Amino acid sequence: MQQDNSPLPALLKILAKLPGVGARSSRRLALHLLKRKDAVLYPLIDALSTAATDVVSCRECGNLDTVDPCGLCTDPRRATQQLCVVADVADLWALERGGSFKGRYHVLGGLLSALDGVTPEQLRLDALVSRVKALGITEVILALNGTMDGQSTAFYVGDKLAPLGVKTTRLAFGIPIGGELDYLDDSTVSTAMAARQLL
Amino acid sequence: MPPSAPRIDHLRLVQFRSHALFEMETDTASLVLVEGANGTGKTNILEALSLFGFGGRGFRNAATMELHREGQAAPWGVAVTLDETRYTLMEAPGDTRVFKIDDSIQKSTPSFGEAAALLWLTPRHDRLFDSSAGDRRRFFDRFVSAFYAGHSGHLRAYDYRWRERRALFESGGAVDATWRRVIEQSLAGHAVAIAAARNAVLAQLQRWLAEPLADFPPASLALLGWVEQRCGELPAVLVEQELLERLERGALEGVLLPHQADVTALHLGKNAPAHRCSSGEQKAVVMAWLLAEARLLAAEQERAPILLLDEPFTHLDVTRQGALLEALLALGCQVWLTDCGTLSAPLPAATKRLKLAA
Ligand SMILES: [Zn+2]
Repeated sequence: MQQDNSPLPALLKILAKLPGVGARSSRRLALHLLKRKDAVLYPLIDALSTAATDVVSCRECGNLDTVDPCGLCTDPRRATQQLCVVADVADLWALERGGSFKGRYHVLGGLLSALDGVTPEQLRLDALVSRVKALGITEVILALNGTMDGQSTAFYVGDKLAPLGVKTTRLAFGIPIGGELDYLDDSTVSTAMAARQLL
Repeated sequence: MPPSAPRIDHLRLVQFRSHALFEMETDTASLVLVEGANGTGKTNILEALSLFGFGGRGFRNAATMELHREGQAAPWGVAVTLDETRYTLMEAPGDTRVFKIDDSIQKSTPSFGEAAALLWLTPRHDRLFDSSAGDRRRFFDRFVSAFYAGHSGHLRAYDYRWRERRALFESGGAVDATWRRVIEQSLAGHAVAIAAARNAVLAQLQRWLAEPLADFPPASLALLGWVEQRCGELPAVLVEQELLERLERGALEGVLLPHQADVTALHLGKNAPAHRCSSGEQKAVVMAWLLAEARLLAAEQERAPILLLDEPFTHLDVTRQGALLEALLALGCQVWLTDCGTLSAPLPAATKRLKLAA
């Protein structure tokens, strides 16, 4: 067995920290990378390094892109007066894959949770209110999941938007409570978007 | 005999608790008796079935890891065939479980769903009336959720919001008023839904409790809870408002909330509270309570439950043992029983017996 400070254990340790990867898959991934240095490992190093320097968080919507503001925020065809509120960038991408939403997004950066200590100040709520005003938004669609935290965040955001007189809707989920937007197939996401309901 | 009486006809356990491999057919008998000395793993067999009941963790509330066969790392598995549908629960990597109905993986909590409700009694319940309000409340809520599929969801959501509300106050600093209102509105809604379901089920149960089977004692139950009481006096929407106002003002002194409610029983034959009765009478009231639940389910849902009774014959004389067997047969549901040699009453002919060796 090698020493703990040698490169292989360090690689295994960092791989095991990735979501969905445990000790066993980290060994498999490391072997795969090291056996295919030219085909996989070096291109991965390049892609990671580019991502680290070039990908930034959009100051407007919170999306990840290589430009700031992001491509969605600068696309004039996206100025539809509809704004879709999501918890995370992963949810934004899930909705984009569905392709049925043509407006702009707002990433909150999480869900309210008193138990996990996620407070309203940690979410991009003030930015949401000013964007709704600045962009002349007429409908805010809350695309938050059906978990307990998703529900309270939806009501909280709805309350904050009420004085603005903007129409607030939420996705119509035919999914059990606890369903995560990110894991839904694209057509389900599109259906939920089409059948959204007033909050 | 209820219109539909579900029957488990096959059970297979792999690396589960004390059983390396256990397999049995019941020939769809209505009484299944598992006999054996203490330590032969009788209760483990009933526990395996109880994993498909309320909460999905069985009657010992066991974590996934605890269900391993002693000293083994191999994953455990339970497969039950109920009216030709196969329900499988298996341990999976990462301290999780996989639940399958026939060959399709389910995302839901393990249960027989619409096919059958599970009700159970274990020796722990012999002292139910000397036990905590929480034990009695959970015993009753387990039944309410067999009746209203949404009940356990409301209980979980209520519990979540209650802990959130406490965390909000304990976090220090000023409490965000909007956030607090969102949490309390949700809490009040779930509280009223829980109380209304409890009240509705209790009202229906009383009739069956008053007319017990065999010579079980007639009994009546009472719910002690503020929301439950108010729901009996006012429309639900007004109770929700009143509770919300009290939560907002923090005026909760003397208010027994749904997670603090109690269920008390009266032995009508003696006109005495159950906790004042002898231990034998207490056990008879608990059994009468469970039998009333089974009869109500069979009558109202046209679907009999499956009963799991762990060591029901201990501390019963031969007459009472016979009365219990007679009552169970009259129910028409499938009943799984264990016995460690205390049963001396004659068994009905249709009983499927299984003797476990030490
Ligand atoms: Zn953007």
